[in-house]
Amino acid sequence: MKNLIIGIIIVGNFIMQSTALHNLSFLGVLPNTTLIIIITFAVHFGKNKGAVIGVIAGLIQDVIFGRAIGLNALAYMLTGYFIGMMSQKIIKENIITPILLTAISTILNACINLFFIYFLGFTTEVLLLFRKSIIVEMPYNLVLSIPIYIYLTKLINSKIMKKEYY
Amino acid sequence: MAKTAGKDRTIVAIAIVSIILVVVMGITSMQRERITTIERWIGNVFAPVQNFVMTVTNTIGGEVASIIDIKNIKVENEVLSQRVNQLEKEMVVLRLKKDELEELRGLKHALNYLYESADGNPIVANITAKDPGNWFDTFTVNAGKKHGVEKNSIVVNAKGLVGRVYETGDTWAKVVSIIDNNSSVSFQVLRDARAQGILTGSITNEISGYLFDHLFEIVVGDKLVTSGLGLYPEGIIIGEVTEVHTSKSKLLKTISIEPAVNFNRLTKVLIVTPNNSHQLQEE
Repeated sequence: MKNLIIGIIIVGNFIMQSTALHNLSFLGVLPNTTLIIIITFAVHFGKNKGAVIGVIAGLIQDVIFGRAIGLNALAYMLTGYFIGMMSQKIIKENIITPILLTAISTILNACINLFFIYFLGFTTEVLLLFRKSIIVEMPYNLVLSIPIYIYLTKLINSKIMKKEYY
Repeated sequence: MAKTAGKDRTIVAIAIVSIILVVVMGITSMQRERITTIERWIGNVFAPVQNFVMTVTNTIGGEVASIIDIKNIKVENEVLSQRVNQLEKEMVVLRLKKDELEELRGLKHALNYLYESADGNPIVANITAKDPGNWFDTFTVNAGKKHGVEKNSIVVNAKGLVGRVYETGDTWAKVVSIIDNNSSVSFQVLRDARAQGILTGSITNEISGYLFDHLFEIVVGDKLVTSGLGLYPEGIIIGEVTEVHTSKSKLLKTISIEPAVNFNRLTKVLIVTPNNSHQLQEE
């Protein structure tokens, strides 16, 4: 049951993010809700599940839109893994947790992406990229991370997730 | 011991998957002739769902916008009806010119003069989804191989050039827009076709470029169209010049342009299959 719900959330989020969420873009930048969801799951389920969820979410995005398949999958997998590693040492109920983790992983994600985009030979303007992802995207992610984190935490702790199978 | 072994195993697994992903990335980073069956199937599953959600949101968004804008609509209506009158007058003049042009084209053909033209049957497609990432500017449309869309087909809308088809699935296709930081377009200035240059998109979705001839006096407000060199056929509107910079050495003139197409509000596009000029060259 747990895996089914996680799958539905990941796929549903991807569909919404690529369609409806575009109406909420700010200065041409979209918030990365996929990242926030991966962080939340990694915090609650640990590094292994975090990495697996990251790979799957990234692969979907790569296959539908990607110029190089594996870019997002790798970035999200590493993000999920590192956040999962930290999860044992942090207080999950604190409101600061999602904010801090989102900030860290937005930067981490931007670095991984930048590294590979550069080595795959796509043109990059490093400063512009950083301006876009850190100054515009990060605050947007931070604001959205709070409601998403709180809601998903509630869902994870609810009874429906603990049921084995119907 | 067992605990450390378990820990090592996850790290090894992560490392192996990372290496596989890097290899796959390397293989797929070039534009491919065909996509794999798995990709095609994933695309086939997602495309209709995304298409449905996009249609619903666009309809709701459109309704809400029209309720808010109801005051402006009256004003717009007047402006538009004036414009219709004006355009109708122009149309009469243009129709005369068109007849003349057709005559001349017939003559050109008769003289065995090789000329290119975009193929006559454009495909109308809806945008089904846009890339949620902020690094590339790609979107998918609900027309694919079944409808005759090919790789490198040209994507336009009523206002001007949108981009090109990157990969095609059965009923969907990936489109790279001209504001993507990896696409470049060769242009010419509308009022003087001899002034040509190259435009590239950027990560901030602005288009900038340079002129081959740095002595040409390009001014703000000049309209740019495609030059016909490379992928895009000649004469598709790209946008308007908003800024002109001359470098200190005065050997390079760079320009920034405002695209004619509003990429944020794009919902419908026309796909034109590549013309036959390439085949002619190969023969």
